[in-house]
Amino acid sequence: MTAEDYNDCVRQYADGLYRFMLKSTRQVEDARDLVQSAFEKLWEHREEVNASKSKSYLFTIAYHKMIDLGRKNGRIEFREFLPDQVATERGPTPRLRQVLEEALDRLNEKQRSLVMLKDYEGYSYEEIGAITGMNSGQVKITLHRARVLLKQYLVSVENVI
Amino acid sequence: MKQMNINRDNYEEYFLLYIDRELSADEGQVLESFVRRNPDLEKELERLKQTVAPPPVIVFENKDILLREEKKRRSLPVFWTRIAAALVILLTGAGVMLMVIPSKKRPLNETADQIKKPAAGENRNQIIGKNRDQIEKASSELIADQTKNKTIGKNSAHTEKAGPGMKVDHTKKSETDSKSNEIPDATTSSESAQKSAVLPDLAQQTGMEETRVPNFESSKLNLLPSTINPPSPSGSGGQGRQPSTINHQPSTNPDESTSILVFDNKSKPVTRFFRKLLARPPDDNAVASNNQKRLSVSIFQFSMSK
Repeated sequence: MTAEDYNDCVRQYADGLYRFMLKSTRQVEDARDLVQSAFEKLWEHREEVNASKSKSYLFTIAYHKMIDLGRKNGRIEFREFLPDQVATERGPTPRLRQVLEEALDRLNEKQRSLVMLKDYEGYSYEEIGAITGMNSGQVKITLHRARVLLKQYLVSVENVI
Repeated sequence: MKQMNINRDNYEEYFLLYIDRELSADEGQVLESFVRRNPDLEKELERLKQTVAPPPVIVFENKDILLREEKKRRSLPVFWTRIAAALVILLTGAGVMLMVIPSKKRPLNETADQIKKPAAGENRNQIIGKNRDQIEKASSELIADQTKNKTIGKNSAHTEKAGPGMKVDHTKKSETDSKSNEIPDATTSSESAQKSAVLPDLAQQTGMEETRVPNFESSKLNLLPSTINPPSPSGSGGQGRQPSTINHQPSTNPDESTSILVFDNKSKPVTRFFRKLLARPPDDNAVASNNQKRLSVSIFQFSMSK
């Protein structure tokens, strides 16, 4: 990978990676530090990384650093997340979107990460398994459990409303 | 393709695969047809679709801290730009040198030519002057009419005025002087050598022309072709005998114009003769003879002037 390829990666993937880190950690500074750390790693290993695999490489590095950071700091405090930062994003409806964000908060760290990798980035089970270190069967089962939990929460909230 | 066997017992797994876009297009059509056959499960599918989180637009601010300097892309153009700039400077300098050096040398060549040409002209003038001396001696024997001396004295003034033309003529002669041994020797040698070497030849020629002069008027004029217009009855002015009336192309040769100016108003038969003489095509075989005749013209001119 050349320096030009690397900078292209920055322009194409920095926002998505930051979104993934921010939604996972709920900490702006942690998310930014993780993104910078991932790109530094990519730069250090640019000679070994194929440009077509750079996105997966970035997400893999950032995901594992995030796991390491969570283990170091204990469980991530979701309450520190600033919901206003994503409240204005597009979605079915503001209310449904808010309920979905609340449902995502109730997922565990791995489930939420898999949902975001699937829904935000469009990765396949196999690709998600490569990033997270899981096999595609585990990804499938984990994601299905997360979907069922989300559906149950949405139905519960709908019934309350 | 693996046959998808969806039923009411396993539909949830296929519904999850469907919303995760893990089914192929054909499998998706099978699932949709299953849902149409089981409308009570359609709401279940819609609820699972609502669990798909739309990607929020979140921007990583200040990406410049992540960007790196593209050294290769930038260093290479700079390298070639420097080479191109150096080449432009070198070519410009070379062009200036090519323009300046010849312009400096040119005056030297020109001065050399200018030195040579006036020298040649001076030699010619000296020759003419010597012709005069010789002609003065001969004219004292042949020409005694004082009135002719006055009128042709004016013509000699014309000849002197036509000096530059004579210079040009001489330069033209110098191109063909390889065929004529008399003039180059006279023009390139020193004055003392010119006096000793040229004068005898000129004296011989002068003697020949002196003897020919009557013949020009008597015999050679009779040989003039009919293409030459006869002189006007009034005999005044050369307008009626302009070169356009003569059967030769109007020449820009200053030597010819000089000859016409000299003789035009003075001796009509002789003028017509030399017009005809100068109108002859300058073929290579006749160059030496023409040069000799031209020289004779000059001698004759000055023999008539005094």
